[in-house]
Amino acid sequence: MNGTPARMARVRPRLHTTLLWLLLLMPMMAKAESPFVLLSDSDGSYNGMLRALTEQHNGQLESEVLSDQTPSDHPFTLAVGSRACEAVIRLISAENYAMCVFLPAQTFADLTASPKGQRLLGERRLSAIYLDQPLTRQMLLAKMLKPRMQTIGTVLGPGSDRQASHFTSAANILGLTPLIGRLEDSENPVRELTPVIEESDVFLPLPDSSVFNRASAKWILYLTLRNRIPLIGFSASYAYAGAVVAVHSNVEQIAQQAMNILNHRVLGDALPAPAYPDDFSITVNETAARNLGLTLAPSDALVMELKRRERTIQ
Amino acid sequence: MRRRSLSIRYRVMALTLLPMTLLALVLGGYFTLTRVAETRANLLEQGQAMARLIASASEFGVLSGNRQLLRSLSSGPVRAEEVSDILFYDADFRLLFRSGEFDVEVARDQQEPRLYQGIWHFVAPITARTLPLQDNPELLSIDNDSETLGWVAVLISAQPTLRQERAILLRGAGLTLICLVIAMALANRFGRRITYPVLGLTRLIERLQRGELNARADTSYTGELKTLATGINRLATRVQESNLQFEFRVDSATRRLTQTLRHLERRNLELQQERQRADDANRAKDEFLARMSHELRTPLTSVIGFTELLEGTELNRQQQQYLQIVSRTSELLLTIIDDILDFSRLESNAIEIETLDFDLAQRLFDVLEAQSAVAARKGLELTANLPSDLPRRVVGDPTRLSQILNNLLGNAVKFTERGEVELQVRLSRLPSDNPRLLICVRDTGIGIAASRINQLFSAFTQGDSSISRRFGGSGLGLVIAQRLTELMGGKIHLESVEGEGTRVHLDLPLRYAPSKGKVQCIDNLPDTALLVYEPHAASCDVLMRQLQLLPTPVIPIRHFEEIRDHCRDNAPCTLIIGVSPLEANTRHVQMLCDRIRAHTSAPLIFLIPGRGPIQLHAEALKILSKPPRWRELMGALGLPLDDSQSTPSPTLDSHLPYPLEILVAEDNEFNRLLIRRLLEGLGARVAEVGSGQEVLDYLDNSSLPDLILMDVHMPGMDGIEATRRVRLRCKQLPIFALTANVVPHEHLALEAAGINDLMLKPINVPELLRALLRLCEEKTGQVHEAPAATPELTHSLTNLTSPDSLQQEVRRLAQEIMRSVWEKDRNQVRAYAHQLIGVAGLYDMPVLESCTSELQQAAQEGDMRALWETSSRLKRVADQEQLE
Repeated sequence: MNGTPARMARVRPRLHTTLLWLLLLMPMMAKAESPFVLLSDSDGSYNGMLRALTEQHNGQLESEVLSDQTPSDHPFTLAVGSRACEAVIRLISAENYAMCVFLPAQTFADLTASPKGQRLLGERRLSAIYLDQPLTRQMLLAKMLKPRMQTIGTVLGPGSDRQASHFTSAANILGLTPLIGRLEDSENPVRELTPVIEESDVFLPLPDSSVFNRASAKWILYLTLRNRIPLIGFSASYAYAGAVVAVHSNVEQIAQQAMNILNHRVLGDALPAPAYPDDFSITVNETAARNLGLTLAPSDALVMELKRRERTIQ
Repeated sequence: MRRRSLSIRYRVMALTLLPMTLLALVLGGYFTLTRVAETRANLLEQGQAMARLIASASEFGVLSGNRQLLRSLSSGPVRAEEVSDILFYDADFRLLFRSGEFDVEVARDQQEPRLYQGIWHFVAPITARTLPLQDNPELLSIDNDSETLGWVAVLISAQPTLRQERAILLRGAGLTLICLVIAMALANRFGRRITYPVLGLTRLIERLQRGELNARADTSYTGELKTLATGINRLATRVQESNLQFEFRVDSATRRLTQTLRHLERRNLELQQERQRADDANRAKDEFLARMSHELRTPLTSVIGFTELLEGTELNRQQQQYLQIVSRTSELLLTIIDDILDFSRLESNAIEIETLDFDLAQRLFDVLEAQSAVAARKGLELTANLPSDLPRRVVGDPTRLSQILNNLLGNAVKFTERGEVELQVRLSRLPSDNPRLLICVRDTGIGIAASRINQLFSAFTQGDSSISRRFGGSGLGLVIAQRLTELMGGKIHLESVEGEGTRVHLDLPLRYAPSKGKVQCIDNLPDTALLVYEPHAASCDVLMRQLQLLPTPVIPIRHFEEIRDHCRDNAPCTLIIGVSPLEANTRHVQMLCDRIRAHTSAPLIFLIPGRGPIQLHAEALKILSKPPRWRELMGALGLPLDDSQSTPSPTLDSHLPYPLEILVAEDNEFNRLLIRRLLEGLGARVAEVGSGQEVLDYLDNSSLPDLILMDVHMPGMDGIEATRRVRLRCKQLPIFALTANVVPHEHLALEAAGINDLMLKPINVPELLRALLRLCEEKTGQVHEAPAATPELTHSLTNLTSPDSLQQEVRRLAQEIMRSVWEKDRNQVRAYAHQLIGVAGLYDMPVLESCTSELQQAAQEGDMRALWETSSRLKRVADQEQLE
């Protein structure tokens, strides 16, 4: 019997360690609940987002495409796209959570302008990962292109005063002079764009639907190239179309960021605040850069430099 | 429509040109039109492309309203000649800029190019297109639809295109024309290379066909044409060689033929001469035959006549034997002469078959009786097997039938030494339209070898040469019988078995005479039995068949003792006793009679062959010839005779039913007088002339007579010439020629001159009367029966003149001839001699005729010595009391 107490003495620390680990692992076990993915549409980009999410989740995700029928309420809904986000905000019950991905920041802001939206944000039961890039990141990139730049221009549609203020503040932060052109529906876009672009060192178009109609999108690009003004695009396609560089986040980067949030969240925890994508990519149009006389580093180096500069500012 | 034939050259040209022309036209047309279409399509495409390009390029200029930009944009294209103007319109189709200044109306909604006033309008919209700037729909939503910012109108003048099209058309047409010309030239060249050789060969063939066999084809051709040319040349060479050979052969054959023809001509000439000589000889023979016939016949008749007279005188046995020999040979000689005469006339077709109504049975028995004496002398049984339905009267030539049967029966009797000769008659009434009279003469004579039967119908041929020596004869009998039978439309054939006998079958057409007698019924026959004794079986059968037609018992007996059995109790009976020809003499018949009388005193009828002079001493006895004539037998039996044949014979006193007007042309007055009397006696009216010329004068001056009796030999114009001339005037006038000449060529000349009938001198009055009656029938249209040739009628001519006057006339003419001979006036001699010949011919004085003919011949030949001799002989003949 002498051995038993000794043996007990040897086993007890191990037992305590095991129990500790079990307590530590409890929250991990709590996030085992799988999110419900609500797609705004069955379009290819939405499906791409779903595939990226599924890959990041390491398992099958329950999903549904938004239709005329009322979608079912789930404890955690991952809304992909503006329409899904709007539906989730409208239908979410008091105890459930939701995260909107794959939508611009301006759109999310508009969707959550309602009291319920504000309440959900306040209760941190609603969060988002934006599709577009923060203005600062884009302006930093502009400065990387033309370090001696003074002015940065953009053009906005009617009723974009909030965006104008954001643009102005971002420019001011980086010590740049914002030049903001206003584009009305009835006006000739070329006539409005030409002075703004001609006066800007770098032109930064914003993804504003009121600005980017069929004519203006092309003529912004045309006028910047013609005036040898570097243009920072907001999508890879923009770079392909003629923008010198474009900074953007793809679905994998967004999905990874979303799934990271979900995976590290304990059941019942509040959600983080809506945020721009952490990770991004830069696409360079070598031809346009050459025409403009710019010598640019490779994309990866630009991304790293940009991320470094972002961290510096923060 | 006649299809036009093209030469091979044109055909080859057509064959070559047509497809090439068609090809050139089709291809030229196709490519030209394609090029024109392409030019237009290019214009349109170019215009549309230019409009699209300018529209695309002018998007910024239009959007920005930058006219300077638009000007620079359009300045380049406008420099082109065909671009007239480029117009830019904004979204509201307000004109922003244009280069030209002319009036134009552009339609905004014009989708397709439009030709307006010689200018093509190409309108293209200026559209703004959205760049694909967004990666996803969430970041930026841009409408992808295009937006019309304005329009560009490109005006292109159609003139350059039209000029280009015209140039293309002209070039195409020119090229096609050049192709056609080249094609024609090539076709012509290549066609000539084909057609020239073919045409050359064709011309060569034509030359060869024309006989230019030296022509040869040009062998410079190529290919098959060379082979053809070589072949034609080879063929032409062969043809030429063959032709030469053929010509050589023809030439040789022609030479041979010419020689042959010359030879034949010579032979022909010789033959003609020979024939002429033969004809002359034949004519001389005819004349000689005729003359000699008369010459022979006349003394022969005297011999026969005097022989018969001599038989009536007191002769011893040897003299009688000699006399019989003389008589037989004379008769034989007479027969031969008659046969020769007949044959001569048959040969010259001088015999015509008459159509007369006659008693057939009587004619048959006449012939049998003529032969019965000879048959009886030879001891031959002569039987007549006639059918009971033999027609009494038939139509035909009785004289020629008798002649045939005389020949056949005469032959049968002649060539039969013992046994019998049978005349068998049958009728074949079927078919009804061609009844036949079948006569068979059967004998039990020596027969004829089968191999010689066919020769029997050749002239002067007998069964055997020994026959001529044994039996005599001319060998003309069967020939004459055959010719006469054929003339009658019949056939004759002969069957014979050598040593057994001969059958001669005669097949003649049977023509019934119109029945004139009435059927007589024998109903008053005395109830008398007829006992027939006939030792010859065949004769007995024939007799029994005849008698059994009578309604009285006929009993054949074999022995005289049977007479008592049938004639006892004084039952009336009549005995008919047939006598065998071997016993047909007075002594035997008397013995027979005495034997019968020992049994009965019934009436006896003896049937005696030959019916020689038999003197019997018995009562109630009648003698008939054997075989008996039916009528005579009926008469002997006391039965009534059919008197239908007892029609009175016409005599000279008979008048013609129509008074014919007859012109008699006869140079001799005596003859004229005689003929005049004859004709007037017959009831005709007669006019006389003495020469042929007078006949013509008479016809000119007087009315046409009903008949001319034309003497052939007349001074001046003879009867032949006169007939020929009369025929030129009157084709229908009947002319009968009178001639004493039996020479055929004269008869033929008369027929050729156109006589209707020929009358031989001496005139056969019954024949003349029949001919005149036929004329009367033609005049009156009534049928008149021809009179039978009764002796009265036959000798009427002689009765018309007295012998004294005839002799006086003959002597007068003879004296005139003598006087002329003294005076050496040969013409007078010939003229009187001619008259005398006429008289001699007319009165059948052959001696006188022959003598006068010789005199005339001598006068004609100028042979004075012969003239003196013949004139002296003539004087002697004429001075005879009995003219001959």
